[in-house]
Amino acid sequence: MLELRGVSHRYGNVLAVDQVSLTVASGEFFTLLGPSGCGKTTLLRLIAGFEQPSEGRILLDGKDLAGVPPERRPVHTVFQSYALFPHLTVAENIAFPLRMARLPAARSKERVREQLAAVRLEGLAERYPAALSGGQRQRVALARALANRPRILLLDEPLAALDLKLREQLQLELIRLQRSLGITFIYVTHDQGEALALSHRVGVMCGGRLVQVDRPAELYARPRNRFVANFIGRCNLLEARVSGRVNGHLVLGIPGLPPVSVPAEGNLEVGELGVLALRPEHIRLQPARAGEQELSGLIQGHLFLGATSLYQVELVNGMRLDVQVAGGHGEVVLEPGTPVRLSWPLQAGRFLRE
Amino acid sequence: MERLSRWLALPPLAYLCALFGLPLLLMVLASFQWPGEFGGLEPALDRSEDGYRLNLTLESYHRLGEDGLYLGLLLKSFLYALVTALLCLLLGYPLAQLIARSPSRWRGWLLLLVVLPFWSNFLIRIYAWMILLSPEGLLLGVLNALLAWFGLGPVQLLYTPAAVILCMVYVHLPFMVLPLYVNLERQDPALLEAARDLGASRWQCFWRVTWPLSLPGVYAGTALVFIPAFGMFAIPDLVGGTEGIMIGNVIRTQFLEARDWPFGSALAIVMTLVILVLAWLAAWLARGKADYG
Repeated sequence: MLELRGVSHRYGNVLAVDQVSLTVASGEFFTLLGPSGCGKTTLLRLIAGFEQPSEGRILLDGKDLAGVPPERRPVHTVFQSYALFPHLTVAENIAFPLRMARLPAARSKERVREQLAAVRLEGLAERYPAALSGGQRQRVALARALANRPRILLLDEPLAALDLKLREQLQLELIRLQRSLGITFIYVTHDQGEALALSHRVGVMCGGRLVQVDRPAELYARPRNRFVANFIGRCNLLEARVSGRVNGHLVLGIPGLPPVSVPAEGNLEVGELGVLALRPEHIRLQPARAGEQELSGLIQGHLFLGATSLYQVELVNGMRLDVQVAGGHGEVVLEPGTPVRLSWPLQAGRFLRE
Repeated sequence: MERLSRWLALPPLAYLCALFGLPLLLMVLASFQWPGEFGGLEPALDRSEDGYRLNLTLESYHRLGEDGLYLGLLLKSFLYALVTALLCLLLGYPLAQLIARSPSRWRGWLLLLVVLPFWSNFLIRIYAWMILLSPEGLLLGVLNALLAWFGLGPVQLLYTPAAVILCMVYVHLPFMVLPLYVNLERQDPALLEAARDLGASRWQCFWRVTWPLSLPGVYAGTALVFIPAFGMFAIPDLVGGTEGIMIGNVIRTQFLEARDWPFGSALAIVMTLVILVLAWLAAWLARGKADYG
C-alpha cells in the first residue's frame, strides 16, 4: 500500500505539487490524469525518488521513503521516452535490473525469457533498440521495468508517442499484464479516454492539486467540479444560480431561460453561483416527457462522428449546447436554422459550484 | 547539388595530393635510396652505357632492424605516447563530464577556457614550462621546499622523461576533452535516471551506461592524442634532455644533422605503419559503436 500524506513539491517559487494526500492499494491500477503542467509527472518523480518532497511524507507499506534513493526503492518506472539503453540488446536491457539485483545468471536468463514472452517479443532478444519500432520499444521498456517484479510500477505517459491503433492494442496488454502480475500500477496520462479505460481508480489533477479521486464511472457520472466535468468527456456547462428548492430538487436560474431543475446534492444554498453540467449524450432533440426538463433553440451546425452525430444548438439567450444523437448514418440531418426542443431526464443534470 | 559538391571537393583534394600524397610517396622512395655523399640522395636510376639501372637498397631497413637502439626508441616513444594518452583520458574525462553536465549557458565559456591555450604559440607555452620546471622556477622551488620539510632531497624535473610526459599531457589535453565533451553532451540524461530507477548505484550507472556509450569519444580522443604524441620532437627537444628523447628527435636528426635522408625516411615510415596498424585496431574495436540510435 502506497500512502501520500500532504505531499508538496516546490521548484524554486513554483508549487508543482500542492498538498496531495492519497492512498493506493496493493494491486490497484491507479491513474493520475490532468493537463500538461498539472504536476502529475512531478508526483511520479517524487514516488520514484528522483525528487524529495518539500513537505509531507510518502510511505510504502507503512515505511517512510524519505531519504531512500531511487535505486533502493522497489519502484520501477516506464519512461515516456522509454530510455532504453542503446548499447544493450533487448535481452540485456531486460536483464539490467536483474543484474543490479545480483540475480543468479540462470534465473536471470529464465526471467528474461518469461518477460519476452509476456510482451510477445520472443524473436527480438538479440536486437538493439535502434532496430525496433515504437511499439516494440514500448514493450521492451515495460518488460524491463517489470523484470525484477517491483512493488509498484510507475508509467509516465507510456503510450503518448504511439498511433491510435497501437495505443488501443497496448492498453489491452497493459490491463492483462497488470491483472496477471498483481503489481500496483500508477499511470500518468493527459488522455481521459485512456484513464477511464485502464484504471480501477482515477485521480484528476489540476494546478498541482488532486481535485477528485474516484472510480471511472463515478468520475464520469458525478464530477465534483467544473474542471473535472470539462476534462472527463464532453460536457455542456451553463452559468447558473441556485434560485430555490422544490420537491427536494434544486431550481436553477439561468439568465434568459426558463427555470431548470436538477437533483439536490450536498448542502447548497439559495443564491449560490455555479454551472449546470449536462452531457451531450443525455440530451434528446425531442419534446419533454413526464418528469423531464426542456429548453428550446435553433440548430447551428452538425458534425458527423461515425456512430453518432453532434449538433450544436443555440438557446434563446444566445448560449450554446452540444447534443449528441445516436445513429449518425442514414438519419435526416437537421439543417441550420431549424427550431428544436431539447429535453433530458432530470437526474442527468448536475449543478456544480464554482 | 551532388555535382557542385564534387567540384568543390576538387581544390582540397588537389592540395592534399600535391602537398601530402606526393611527398609521402617521395619519402617511401627515399627510404630505399642510397644517401648522397654530402647529404641528400643518390639518384634512384643509374645511367650507364647499357641504359638505365635501378639503384635501390634495403640498407636503411636492415640498419633499423639490426640496431636495437632504434627499435628501443620506437618502443619508448610508443610507451610515452600511451602514457600521455591515458593521463589525458584520466584528466580529460572528468573535465568533459563536468562541462557537459554544467548549465548550458556556462558550457560555451568553459569550452573557451579549454581551447584558450591555443591562442598562444605552442613553442612559447613549452618555453614557459621550461621556466616553471627549472630549479630556480616557482613550481619546482615550492615543490623542493616542501620536500625539504619532510627531509627529502631536492628533485629535478627539467630535462627528464617526466617533464616530457607532463608537457605532452598539457599540450594534448584539449584534443581529448573536445571529442569526449561532444559525446557526453549528447547522452540522454533519461538513461541515467532509468539506470538508477532499475537499481544501479551512481558508480554502476557510470560503468554500465555512461562509459560504454562514451567509447566512440574515448577512441577518438585517444587517437587524437596518441598519434601526434608518438611523433613528437619539439617537447623532448626542449625539456627532455638526453634521457627524454623520442623517435621524432632521431628522425629530425637524421634529416637535419646526420643528413642521412634514407634512414630518416625509413624510420618515419616504420613509425607511420605502427600508427596505421593502431588506428585500424581502434577502428576495429569501435566497429558498430559509432551511432546508437
